[in-house]
Amino acid sequence: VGALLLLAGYAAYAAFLGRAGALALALARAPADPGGTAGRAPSPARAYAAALLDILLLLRLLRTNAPLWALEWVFHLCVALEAARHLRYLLEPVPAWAAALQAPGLAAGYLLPAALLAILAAKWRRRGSGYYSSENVLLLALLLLGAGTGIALKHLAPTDLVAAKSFMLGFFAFRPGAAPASPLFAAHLLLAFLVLARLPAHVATAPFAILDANRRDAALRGILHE
Amino acid sequence: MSEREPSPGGLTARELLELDACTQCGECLRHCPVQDVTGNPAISPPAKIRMFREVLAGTRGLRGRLFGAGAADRRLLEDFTKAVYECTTCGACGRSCPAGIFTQRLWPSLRREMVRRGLGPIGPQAGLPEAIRSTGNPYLKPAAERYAPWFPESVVVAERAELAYYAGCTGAYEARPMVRGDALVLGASGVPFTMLPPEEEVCCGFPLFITGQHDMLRGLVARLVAGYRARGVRTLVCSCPCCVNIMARDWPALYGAELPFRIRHISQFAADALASGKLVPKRGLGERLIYHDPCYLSRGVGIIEEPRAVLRGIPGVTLLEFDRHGLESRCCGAGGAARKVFHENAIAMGRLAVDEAVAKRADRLILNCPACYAKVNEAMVGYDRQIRITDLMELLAEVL
Repeated sequence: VGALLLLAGYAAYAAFLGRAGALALALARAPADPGGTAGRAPSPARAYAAALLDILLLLRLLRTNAPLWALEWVFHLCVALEAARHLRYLLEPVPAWAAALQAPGLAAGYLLPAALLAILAAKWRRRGSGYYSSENVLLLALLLLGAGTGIALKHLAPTDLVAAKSFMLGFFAFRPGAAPASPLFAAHLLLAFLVLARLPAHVATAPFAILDANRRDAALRGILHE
Repeated sequence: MSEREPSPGGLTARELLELDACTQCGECLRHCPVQDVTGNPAISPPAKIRMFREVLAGTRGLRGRLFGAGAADRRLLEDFTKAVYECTTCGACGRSCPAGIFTQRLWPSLRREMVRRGLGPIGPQAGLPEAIRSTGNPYLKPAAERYAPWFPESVVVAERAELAYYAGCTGAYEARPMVRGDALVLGASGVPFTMLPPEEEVCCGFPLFITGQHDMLRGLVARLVAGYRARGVRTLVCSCPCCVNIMARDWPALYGAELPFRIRHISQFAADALASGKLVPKRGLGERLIYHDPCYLSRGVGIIEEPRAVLRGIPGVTLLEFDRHGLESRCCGAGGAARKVFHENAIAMGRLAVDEAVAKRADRLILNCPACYAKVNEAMVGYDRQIRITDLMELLAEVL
């Protein structure tokens, strides 16, 4: 099982890095972008500040769909807290801030599946009348399963955390060790690798598009007004 | 104020980034006018982006590299081409996009890419370059009919002036009450203005740009700019939102330098003239008016307040708003040259505007774009709901 997990993990990272590299290459080789934004461009500091708020608070979604915004915001916050909480299995020594985030991370672990279920329900309800991305639903389902196995690991079948950490440290150091003898741990890790392999590109690109949109919005009035 | 012309044959880095930035959430469908009348998610904005991503993966990705460009499924390309040309390019999807994708620009860029691949444009759009090459306009109409049928005899056009008026092809040939209103308002203001002779006032390039056919653009722009420059023009005024959009956003890049004059929409000129007392309404109207924001004027270049200022400047007017107005306005169906191919969609979208205007008990529907004017009038033919349609400058000219 350990060897299979290692193979799956390295394959997932290879797929992730390959996709990221291909995207970076495509962007680097693409014809030059338009030189500027039509209209009066806002000051860079103002544009970056507005974009940062926009990204962190998902303000564009709030403008369009407030109920979904609330669910997505909870979901994204939970994912961030969960990711931070899991750093204790990947870093040695564990940074103080990562240790401090254990309690909120745990709470996020319970909230995450609830938010995911609500988002999936909202998407399912719209299936007949709106756009339905099977790719997105699959990703959400993988996250839901990941959250479910995580909760099960915490409460139903706790694994040997020392062995789990030792395995993960070995994985990142290319010094493979034995995996904990827990099918639930294997399933949880495999799901995490699957999510990594399928991680949508918008995680990296949407913030840049939002930054550009902020510049564009700020400059719109300046196109025909002096 | 300038944007560089995207290199021909290939999407820019920003466009590629935007394609990847789409989260496929589908929020835009609730704002898409084509969805309003077709209810077909297969041609929706996220579906188009998904299809184009597959096209790119088939040609540029690992699959394409291993199996060659032929791996890009022909059917997929054809489906994508139809979807991207069925769009009115109104940009409402981009306005509602949580990732802020600039779809009013992205769709024309993808059309350009389809032209490059030999799949676009579709239907009568393919005849636009030849029509413009031979007659100077996309309607294949003679230059002699460009001004003569509608230009008011009472209005004097100067040989040279700091202010110039560009009528535009759609106004001149398809929405004559509108351009007649423009000329009357300009004349009433007392500000001297010039115009190019009808054979020199050629297409602004927008129909070619929007259908992805960029070959002739530089030549058209150079010709027009030279004409206005020779007349000492400092401000070029136009009422067509599409013309104004390409003039303000793309002409500098196509011209290769900053324009020797500034671009203004006629509603800006009229609002200023009303404010300064150059234009004074001689009578009131006492009517309920509902104003439709043209997509390429509101979302395109940010002209939202001035048309309303003009309407509020007419005594007795009660101004009503569509549910979707300003930056959120809903396309009337005339946009993106889709009306030339997907006529029924355009008519159905036009009727949605008529329905709402009638439901709000407006006395008149005020339009501010020649394509909207022509298409919404057409949408009312044989329709059980009717409303009086008037162009903004036509209305203003009525009360001067």
